[in-house]
Amino acid sequence: MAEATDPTLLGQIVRSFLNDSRTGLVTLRQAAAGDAECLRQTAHGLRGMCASVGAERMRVNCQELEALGTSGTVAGAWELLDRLQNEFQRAEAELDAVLHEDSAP
Amino acid sequence: MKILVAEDMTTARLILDMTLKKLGHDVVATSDGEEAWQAFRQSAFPLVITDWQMPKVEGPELCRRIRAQATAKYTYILMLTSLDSKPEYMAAIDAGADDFLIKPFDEDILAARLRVAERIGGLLSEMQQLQGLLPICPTCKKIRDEQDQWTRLEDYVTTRLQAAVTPSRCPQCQAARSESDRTLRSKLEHVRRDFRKTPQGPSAPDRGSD
Repeated sequence: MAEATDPTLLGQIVRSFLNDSRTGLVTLRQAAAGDAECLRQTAHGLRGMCASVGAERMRVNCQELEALGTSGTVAGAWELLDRLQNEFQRAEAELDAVLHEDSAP
Repeated sequence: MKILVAEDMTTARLILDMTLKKLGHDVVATSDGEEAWQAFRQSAFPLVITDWQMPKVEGPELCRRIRAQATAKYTYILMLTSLDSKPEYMAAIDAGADDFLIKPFDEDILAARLRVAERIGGLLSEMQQLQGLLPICPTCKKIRDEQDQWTRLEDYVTTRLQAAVTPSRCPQCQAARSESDRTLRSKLEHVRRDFRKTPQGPSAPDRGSD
């Protein structure tokens, strides 16, 4: 993640990442039901964001989902989504810890 | 430098905003292409950093709108995107972007690209100033054009402004012209009077014998 010198800003970025990821996962699950274009667009947006904060494994998962959407299919999206969800939960746990440290006096 | 940012993902926007401010720039951050376009129309920006995929107006369309807008100074556009293939790079440049950076950006590389943007902006301003200085001949008033050719002022203006030149005297020239006409009429009157006084007309100058 880019070095954030302002602790308030660091917290803001972490919270924003968690919110964007949660919203993105919900949209991806809806898209996996049959909307390949939505799958591509949402995965693309999440990929850029994950890259920005250095969430590398999530970024790779998003890239695979984006490739799926680009090829015009949603077949196999659920499996990829489960992997992305797992990676997000791991990242969430780590980042929650960062937020607690950040808000500690 | 005053920078307009267009990025729809909050996290990416916050990180970019933070980095640019840390590098000493003034940042106006917007969350989609349309919002960025409205901000651009209200105020000139020497630099725009835009994402590609955004709601409402996407990055390439924002580039096209900026390029179509007549501005006093050039706006340098940097496309910052996770789309990283050659066709996308080409499409961004064709749409009017000057530079292309792939996410995640490296802070030092971004800072270097911004220095290039500042350098190019400075050169363009200097060029505009130099273009404002027209070499003009003090005697015949011809102007030296970009091809180093001396052109009549009327032709130069007609070509550059796409407007026809209509002869029309300014008040000072009109007054001088009237004065000159009066002097000429007066002289003619004198000649006519001299001619009437002498039956053979005024004495012809001695041209000598052939």
